[in-house]
Amino acid sequence: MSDTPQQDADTLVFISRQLALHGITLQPEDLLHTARHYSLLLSHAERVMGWPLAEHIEPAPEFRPGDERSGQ
Amino acid sequence: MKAPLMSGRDEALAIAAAIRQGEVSAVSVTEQALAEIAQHDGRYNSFTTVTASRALQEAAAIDAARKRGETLPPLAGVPYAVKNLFDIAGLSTLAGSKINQRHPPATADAQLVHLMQQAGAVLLGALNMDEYAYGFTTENHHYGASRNPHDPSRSAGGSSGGSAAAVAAGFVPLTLGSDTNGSVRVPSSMCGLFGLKPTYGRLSLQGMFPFVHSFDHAGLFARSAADLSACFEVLDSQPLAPTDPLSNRVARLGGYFEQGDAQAQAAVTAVCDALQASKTVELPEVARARSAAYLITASEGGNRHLERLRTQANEFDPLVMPRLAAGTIVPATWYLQAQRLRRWFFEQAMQLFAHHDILIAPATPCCAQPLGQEEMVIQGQRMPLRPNMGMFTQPISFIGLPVVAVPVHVPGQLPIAVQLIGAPHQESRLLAVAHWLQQQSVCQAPVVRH
Repeated sequence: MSDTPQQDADTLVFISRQLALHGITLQPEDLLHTARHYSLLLSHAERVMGWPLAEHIEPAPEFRPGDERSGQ
Repeated sequence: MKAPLMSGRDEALAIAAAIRQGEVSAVSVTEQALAEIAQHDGRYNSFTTVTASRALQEAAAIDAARKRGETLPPLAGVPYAVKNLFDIAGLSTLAGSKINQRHPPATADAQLVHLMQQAGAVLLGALNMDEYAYGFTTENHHYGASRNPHDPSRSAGGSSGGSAAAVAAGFVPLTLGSDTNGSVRVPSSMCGLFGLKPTYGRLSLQGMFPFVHSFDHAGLFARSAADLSACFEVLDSQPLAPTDPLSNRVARLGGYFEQGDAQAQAAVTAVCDALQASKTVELPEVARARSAAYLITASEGGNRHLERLRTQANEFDPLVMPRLAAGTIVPATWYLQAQRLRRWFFEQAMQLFAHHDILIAPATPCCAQPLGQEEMVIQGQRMPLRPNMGMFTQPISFIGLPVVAVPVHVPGQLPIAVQLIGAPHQESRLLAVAHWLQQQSVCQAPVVRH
């Protein structure tokens, strides 16, 4: 069972084309599973993309010895 | 007087002391541990390879050094094993996969295996895991599931499930694993063990098969906080700073972290009560942080395996392949926003650490669940089991904070663990508190073989 929605034909075509662009060809059943996981990622992306971040915030914190200073 | 019989059931420091004092030989400990693995591991499926010949050679070298009157290193003669994503010279590094069986054998040990050998520890073998570390249950299609020594019908957790099961069953007192989204802390919780996920970047990943560059950590398991500390000192190549376990400003993480079941919350309460932590604080936007961790994991993991997905998709574990394939088509915009959110979330956590030293949260939303189960119900909410076992660990490894998982055992219940979370590079503080909790019998990790 899954809590993700059934995949419609358009979504499957989209996923299939995207995968083909990367050189990946899947069996129909595997494509269905992949589309289901992509839908889950889409829901996570909605949460992430919906959060406004100031322009100055750059990716990837670095963790080097001494970084703990910022927390002390 | 008959020499004591010691094996992986004993604690690492006790074994090392007995060998140092000549009460027992390293070879006899190794032979006993190997015999117990041969006799009992069929039930738990924790090992995928047993390196008996190498182990006996390493043990014999320890006994010979002692006979020569040499000072023995700190873990001399202590049996241990590693998740099968660590390079072991002469073996192909499986990382839980069938595909990697065709890889040539590693020509050298992983750096952490090398450090363990230098410390005198004796390598007994490689341990089961989720394929390419992408899972929380160690239900491996190729090598079978690792089973929980507390109840073999249940999962040992993952992805370092074999590492946890081997310690809980008393085959070895120490194992190494890896933790990208919770793969040390979830199995620590399921199997009732002490587990350490150090600060991101603190331990070498050299010779470990990678999964997600942004989050990959090496980690370790033990049945005592003292053993965990001794092993970490070896892997970190420096002694831990002495700290007073009762001088910390401790707070409970509320909000998002209160979504566990009654047992998970009771375990957190037990630890907070012992530490007299009455304050509850909140990290903002934890669910969003977890979503960002999801996207980064899928994207980096998928791209890591892109060539294998192109040419060998049907040889992956069916639980793993579709997630990796979906990850290959994550747009760059999602990935970069997730990485920016990582920076923002780290800064929010650092604001909490300006006023607190240790934050307490459950490791998992519930205890170990039956193998093959697809869903679980937590606080009346039905959710998929496999991804959500990491719901409390993922947001923490997302920002690389050190965590010691401490096990809480209540009679009549399966164990569950609590996360002690610190600011970067505060491992000594966390380990000192874990040790104190064990001394107070709030946390314990007995050998079990059901």
